[in-house]
Amino acid sequence: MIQKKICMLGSFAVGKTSLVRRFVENMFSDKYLTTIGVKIEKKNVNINQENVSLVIWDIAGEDGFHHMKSSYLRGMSGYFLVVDKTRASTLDSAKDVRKKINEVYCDIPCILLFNKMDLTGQWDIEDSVIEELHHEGWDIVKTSAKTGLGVEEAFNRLATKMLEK
Amino acid sequence: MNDSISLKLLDALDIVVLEHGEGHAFTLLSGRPRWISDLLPDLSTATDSITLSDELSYLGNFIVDAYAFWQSGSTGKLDSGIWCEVNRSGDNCFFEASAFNLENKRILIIRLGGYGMAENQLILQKARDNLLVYEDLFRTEKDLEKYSIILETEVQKRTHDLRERIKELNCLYNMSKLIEEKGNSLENIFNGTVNLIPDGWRFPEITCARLTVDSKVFTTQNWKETVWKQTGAIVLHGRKIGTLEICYLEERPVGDEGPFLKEEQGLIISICEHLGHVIGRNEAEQGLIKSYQILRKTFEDTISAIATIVEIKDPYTAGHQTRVAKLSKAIALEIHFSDEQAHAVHTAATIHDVGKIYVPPDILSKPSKLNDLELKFIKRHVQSSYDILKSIEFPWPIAKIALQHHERLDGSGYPNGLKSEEILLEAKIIAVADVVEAMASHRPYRPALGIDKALEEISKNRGILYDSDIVDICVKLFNEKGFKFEE
Repeated sequence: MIQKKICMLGSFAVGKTSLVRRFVENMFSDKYLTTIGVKIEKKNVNINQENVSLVIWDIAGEDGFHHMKSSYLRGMSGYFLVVDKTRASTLDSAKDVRKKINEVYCDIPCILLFNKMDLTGQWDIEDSVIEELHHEGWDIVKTSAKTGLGVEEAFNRLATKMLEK
Repeated sequence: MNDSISLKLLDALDIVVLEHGEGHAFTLLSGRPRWISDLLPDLSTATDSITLSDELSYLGNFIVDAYAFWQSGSTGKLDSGIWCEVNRSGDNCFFEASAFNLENKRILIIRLGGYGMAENQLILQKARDNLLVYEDLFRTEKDLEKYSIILETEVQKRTHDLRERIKELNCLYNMSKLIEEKGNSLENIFNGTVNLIPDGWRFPEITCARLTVDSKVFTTQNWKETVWKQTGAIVLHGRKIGTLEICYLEERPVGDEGPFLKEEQGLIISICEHLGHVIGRNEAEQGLIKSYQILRKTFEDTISAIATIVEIKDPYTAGHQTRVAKLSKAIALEIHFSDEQAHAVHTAATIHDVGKIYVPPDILSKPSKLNDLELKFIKRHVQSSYDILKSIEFPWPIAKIALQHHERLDGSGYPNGLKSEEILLEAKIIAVADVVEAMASHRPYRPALGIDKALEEISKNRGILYDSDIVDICVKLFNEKGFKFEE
């Protein structure tokens, strides 16, 4: 079976672990539990009649206390940049991460996830900004780990992109 | 420490020690705890050697770095960092690995994370929770700043709008003052209005106005027709009777209607409506004045006609009432009666003897002294005057004045023997004028006694029969102010 490494990247508390949990276990918890180091999960999927084992590296979000080791990214086939739609600063962090990755790796499939779409009253990022990013060429999926919105679609789309490479 | 103790110690600390051999092969130097089989399934069956490839997710990834480290011969230590894997029971297991170069041996240790890692996680969790709270506060502060700016802009806009509204209200208020100013002609109102307009508009210094009503034109001094123009129609009874035009002399930013605001369009409509009302009111006032004048003339003519009827019947006293009326009015004006009051006195005096119409002509023109019965007839004329006049709705108590004009202060008069305060002031005036005129004129039973005799008579009875002030004024009128009865 083909094995593909996916990295979950983005600021802390944007919902990376929740997205993985929703995808792998179809579960969600409102309680925020920070990730230490790296958490590795696996899920087999079938993409275009091909079985693929996705090894998901849920990497602790970067902040003033924790910096991501570049060796974590070794061997990755694709990655998600996760943004919390209720915190505009997390979009800046995601852009920074992508810039750093592009300096070392080229042409690795990436999808930008705008998570916490269910918190409609707290959105801090205008839809027009997302639209603009889309025009700039970002592959974007709006997700909610809480409701499951866009989660399956995001993983399937990334898996397809990785297989097409 | 002997090997047996070392192995037990490593077991107790949940540490597995491996030595790197050739290729990807490792030899187990420590015990074989149960937890390691979740991480390295091959190790549970191997005797003394195991192969670790880079396919082993996190550990495999670390091995790549460890090879480079061992190769370098470094004496330090290379840590993998903590990672978490889900064991067969579905529980999260934390691990940490380190690589050493020890006495030319390449050592790899793998440690199962326990309480210490949970504590680390707790500390990091708290730090990040605090960071989220701080971020939230910062965002709230930023929001407050943003709202403060929005609010300030809104306040500025509303203040500006309010100032504009005040300007408009001032314009309408000053226009109302102009309209209500007593005696202000329509032309003054029109002129004043066009000059009030610039201050009501957004850019007064470049605003000019022109008002056209019928064929008359009123403009501000700076009037010049431009393309930045607003117009309003003045309508009266559904017919357009004029136009108000307002122009900006220079171009200004686009507002609601060209460079003008919708409020300014509202203002021009209000001004035109006001002007329409003013013109309408003026027309109505003129009509009313004309009607009043006609009515007043009719009234005067009627009074005069009534007076004439009596004088036709009593030619000897022809003109008596007219002369009494003239003197009575002069006295009234002299004692500072208003024009209206003086007119009332004049009217009452003009017809005060209307009751004589019931006195037989023989008695009226009898050339000798009258007997008691005849005198009684004569005295009845005041009651007759009252009876004739009381049914007519005069604006003043004409009938009562006529009734009382033969009353005297001491109560010796007729028909009711009223005294001083009971007698109307108008009746007291006519009483004096009546006596003076009668004595000064010719009568069928005697020749004219002359004005001096008449004045002597009233002066003699000043304060007794006649009101002192009225007597004094009457004497003054003849002696000092040149009053004369016309023939």
